[in-house]
Amino acid sequence: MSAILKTRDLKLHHKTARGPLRAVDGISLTLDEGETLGLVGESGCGKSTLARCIVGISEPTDGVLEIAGVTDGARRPSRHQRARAVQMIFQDPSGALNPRLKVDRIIEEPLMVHGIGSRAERKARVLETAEKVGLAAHHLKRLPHELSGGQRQRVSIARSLTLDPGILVCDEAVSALDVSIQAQVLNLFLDLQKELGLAYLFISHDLSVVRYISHRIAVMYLGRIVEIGPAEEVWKRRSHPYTRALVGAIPDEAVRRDGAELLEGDVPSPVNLPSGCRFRTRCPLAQAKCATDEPALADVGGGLSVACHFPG
Amino acid sequence: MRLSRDTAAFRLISHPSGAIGLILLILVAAMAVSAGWLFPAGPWTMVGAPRVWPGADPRFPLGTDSMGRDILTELFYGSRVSLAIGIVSALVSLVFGTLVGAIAGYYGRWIDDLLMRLTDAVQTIPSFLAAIAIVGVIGPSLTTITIAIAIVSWPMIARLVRADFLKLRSLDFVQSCRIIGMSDLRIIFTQILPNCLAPIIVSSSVLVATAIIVEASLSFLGLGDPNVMSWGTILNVGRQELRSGWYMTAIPALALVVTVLALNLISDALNDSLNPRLKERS
Repeated sequence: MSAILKTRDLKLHHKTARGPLRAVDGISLTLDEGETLGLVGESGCGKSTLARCIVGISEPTDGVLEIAGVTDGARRPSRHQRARAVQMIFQDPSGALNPRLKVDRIIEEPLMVHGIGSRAERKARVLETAEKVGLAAHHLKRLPHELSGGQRQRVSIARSLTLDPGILVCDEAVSALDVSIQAQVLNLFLDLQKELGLAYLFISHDLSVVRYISHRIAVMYLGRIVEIGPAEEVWKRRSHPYTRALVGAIPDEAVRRDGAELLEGDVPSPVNLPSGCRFRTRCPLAQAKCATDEPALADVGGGLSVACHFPG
Repeated sequence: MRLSRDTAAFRLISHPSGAIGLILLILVAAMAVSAGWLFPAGPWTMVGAPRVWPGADPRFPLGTDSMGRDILTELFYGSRVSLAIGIVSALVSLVFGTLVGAIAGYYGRWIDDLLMRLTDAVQTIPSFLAAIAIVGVIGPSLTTITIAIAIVSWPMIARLVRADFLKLRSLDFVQSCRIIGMSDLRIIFTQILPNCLAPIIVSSSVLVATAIIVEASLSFLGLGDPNVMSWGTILNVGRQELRSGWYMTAIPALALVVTVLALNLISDALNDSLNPRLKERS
């Protein structure tokens, strides 16, 4: 399998009066064709900013971003080029659709922008894509507010699929849906991956959702990846104390019994980062060393990499 | 989309103040259209004795002015000028204000700062004085009056549009359009603008009303186009006879009041009928 998305030391620092706000602070990851990489972390850890950099709504301030072989930088992909390689699904399906346009027009728009096909061909393509995501023909003449949340998210998915992208960035794509609908949409994502060979960057704060859909999981804290590896390894070994805390926060008795402690306090400000390890202020294992040396991602076996001086 | 526009139009007609405003405005428009047929001699001809009071001579139901011209004829021809200047200058300021507001709101940053400081600067100038100055310098004609009015009234629209663009540009559906590769111009005109039309339409009728008043005021001060008969011209002529023949100023003033009132009523009704949150109420 070859990598369809690569980032190397990707950074996005916002300028603020009190110094740079390190929203994304050196992310290196790869996403293979047809693979799902789950990205978890608390709100404010930079997950969404990373997603915005990848789809091109935000400009990274430093680092390399390579999408489908086209490198960011000197030969930066244009908005047009990038659209064919990577698309995004948003959290709130009602905000992601233009309230004044009918569903068929919303799904057709990417084809119109890229000048693909004749009118009749586009119509056929819209119908085909709509069926693929489980929408019926009678949904196509409706306005977004006349559909349910799950149906709206299907419309978003159909819209993003019309350009045949290799990568779909799903930013909390199921978080706003009812639990029963969540399962349906997650299964739709799995089916589409099987059928179309899509690669997903699946962002969520919910580790149990991410574990269900991902091949690999990356755990993010304050703009950095603190643990990355195969989904089951991350889930079972929980090598980084932050991963343990995230698992411990899942309101499920069977998991909680493991004795993981709940996190206390808030995420430190990304403007004023702690010295050394950024997690040390909330870490139950923190030692003197953690305040001086910042741990780098290191292989701990089983394909798992962890950024901690005392991996469990 | 056609369906929703139809229902908005229906709500406008069934709205009490909308109906009254529309009827009044249609009457004024009918005056403007029929002036040439009903009074082929034009408004400038002396047709009878000067200073005939309304009702005194059946040939001049609204009387004659100090030069013996028929006031009814003048009123009909004047409605042409008022409506034309009102609509054209409102359109010009609408287009310019929308462009400035859209660009400032969509791009933000220094473009926004630059355009908004410009808007502030224009807005701080007392608009009527500015109109007088512009017409005074360039010379009075229909075109310069129209442009002068447009120059002083676009900032209101620009602010309105900018505020809506600021709100809408960060919404996911706009971001999603960037992600599918849509160009900025296309996003501005096909995605954001249709979603902020309602306040623009509502304020445009007020814009027309303001323009009509400014034009009449300029003509009243003798800064109107000397070649056209506007309501302000009648006022200007009648002003000198204010003590002996107050009807000469009262009649055109009433026409102005009715027209401006009609436009304000329509604006009010538009606000209600285009506001989706009030849909259930009516």
